[in-house]
Amino acid sequence: MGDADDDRASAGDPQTTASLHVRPDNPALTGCVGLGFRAALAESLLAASDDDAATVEFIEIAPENYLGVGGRRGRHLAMARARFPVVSHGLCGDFSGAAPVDDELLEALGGFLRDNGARWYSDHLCLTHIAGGESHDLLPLPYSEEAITRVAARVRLVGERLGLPIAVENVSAYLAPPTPEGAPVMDEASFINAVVDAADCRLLLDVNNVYVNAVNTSGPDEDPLQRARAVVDALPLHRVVQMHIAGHYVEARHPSGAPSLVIDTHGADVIDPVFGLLRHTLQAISAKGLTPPPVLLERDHNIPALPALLAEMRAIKAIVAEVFP
Amino acid sequence: MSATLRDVEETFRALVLSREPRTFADVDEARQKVYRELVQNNLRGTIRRATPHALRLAGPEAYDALVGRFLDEVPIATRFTREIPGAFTAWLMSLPADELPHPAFGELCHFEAIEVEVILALTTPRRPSEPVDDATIVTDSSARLCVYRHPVHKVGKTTSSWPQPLAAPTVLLVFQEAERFVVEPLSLVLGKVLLHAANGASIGAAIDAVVAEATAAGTIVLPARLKSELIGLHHRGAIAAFPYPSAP
Repeated sequence: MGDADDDRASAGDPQTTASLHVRPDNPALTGCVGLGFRAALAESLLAASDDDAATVEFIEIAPENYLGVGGRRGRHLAMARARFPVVSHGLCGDFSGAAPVDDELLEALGGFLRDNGARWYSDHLCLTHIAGGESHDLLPLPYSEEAITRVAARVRLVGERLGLPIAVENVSAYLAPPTPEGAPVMDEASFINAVVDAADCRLLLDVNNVYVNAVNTSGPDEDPLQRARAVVDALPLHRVVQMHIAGHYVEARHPSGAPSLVIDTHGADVIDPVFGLLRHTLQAISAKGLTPPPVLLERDHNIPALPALLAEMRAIKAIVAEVFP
Repeated sequence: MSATLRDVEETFRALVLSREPRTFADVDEARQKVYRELVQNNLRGTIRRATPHALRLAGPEAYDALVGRFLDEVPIATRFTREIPGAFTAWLMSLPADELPHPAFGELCHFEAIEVEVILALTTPRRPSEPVDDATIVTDSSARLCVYRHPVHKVGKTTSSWPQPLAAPTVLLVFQEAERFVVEPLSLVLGKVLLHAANGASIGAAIDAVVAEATAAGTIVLPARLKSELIGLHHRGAIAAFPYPSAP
């Protein structure tokens, strides 16, 4: 999740043109396609030509990587903010935590979000705090009433304190933690629906995560894409404020060669079935008469040169334009 | 298996961080192992990347054994990845020397981890001022005063052996200057002045204290020279200001 080592390598100052791509006419970033802002990408993104920069209709940052940070990294954020609209997406906001909220951190986060013009704030629907410490990873929650109640209370509290709409992101899972004996069995979509209803919050819908979970819960003769479409159809699409799309890694395969376990690495190109799921999701959103949410391409590992990422973003934009001409 | 959320948290902790992992019953073990590898690789990788010279000199086996013990014994309190190497080195410094691969290991990890802290720190706006006796010292928020028994700041990519112990500890002020990591060796007396000042003493009182200590030891310290060195650090940004206690 962190990338402090990138700041050690002293590199030249990116030469940026001063154009501003903020969209005051479109604060919700409707139909926009964005890119995750990573330290390893900062210099090439800030030095991009106006034409290339126009492909990046917004950037997403993790406040944990910038809160209280100065130096070259802090300056890069200031430069990026002058060139791109910014959305903030937390890494370990502890939406499922049992301990009291960290008042000092929340206050600092609130100031950071205000400084960066946040219109909403999102974090993951998962466990990060595990029995006294931070895991610094996204661990799956059990699909239980207890989890729903705890997360909903925390999301409401954080939203009130930040004064912003909160979105929870569906996460990828490689196992299903046990739930209390005798409790009703819930599937992924039911759990997400219950949380966002109880919290009255928004949803950051990660289509790659839906696909990953579909693969990881499908048998050898099942079509994970069909399963993923069914999950999307059962989600509260009217609550979607933003979407994520990314690549993943195949860890294991069925004897047929079809993937049986995939890991959400953000370290590879987006595959066609996930592009297909994005198209399906946008079509479902369109069918409900809703506007297209902003879609963000996540790439955290094996980061290619900027032109390759821009090409992937143009492919995403083409799907958005195809569904919402 | 029936489980509350607390049970799930505790099992996850034992699964992903304990040196003797515990697993969820009735859940595919290969998939549980994925989480252990993800968490361990993420945290271990964060520490490894921050302390590459210590890793190379200690060797991966000895190094990883200590990191594994740290992850098992110390709950990670911070939500900021950049602070994890610092938590690791703070724990290392609490260990007896005979539990480390080399007496310089802890100091080397500390020095390497502090580089990350310094280059990511917000700097304090410099306010031109003079080190008069009644004034205090406000160091830049990136500045750290370090005292080492080994010259760990001289370890580089080509260093192939552990640094030998010094006859006297070395005092270093590390700070961010023009976004770069700067290491400034200080005299022991100047280090003590900064330490007294950090504890609230005025510049005059801090200098008086080190002069008295030096006189008792039969050595000579020139206050004017100390002030000149403070001015030099102020010009380079390591000292943000010399404010009067009542100044905002």
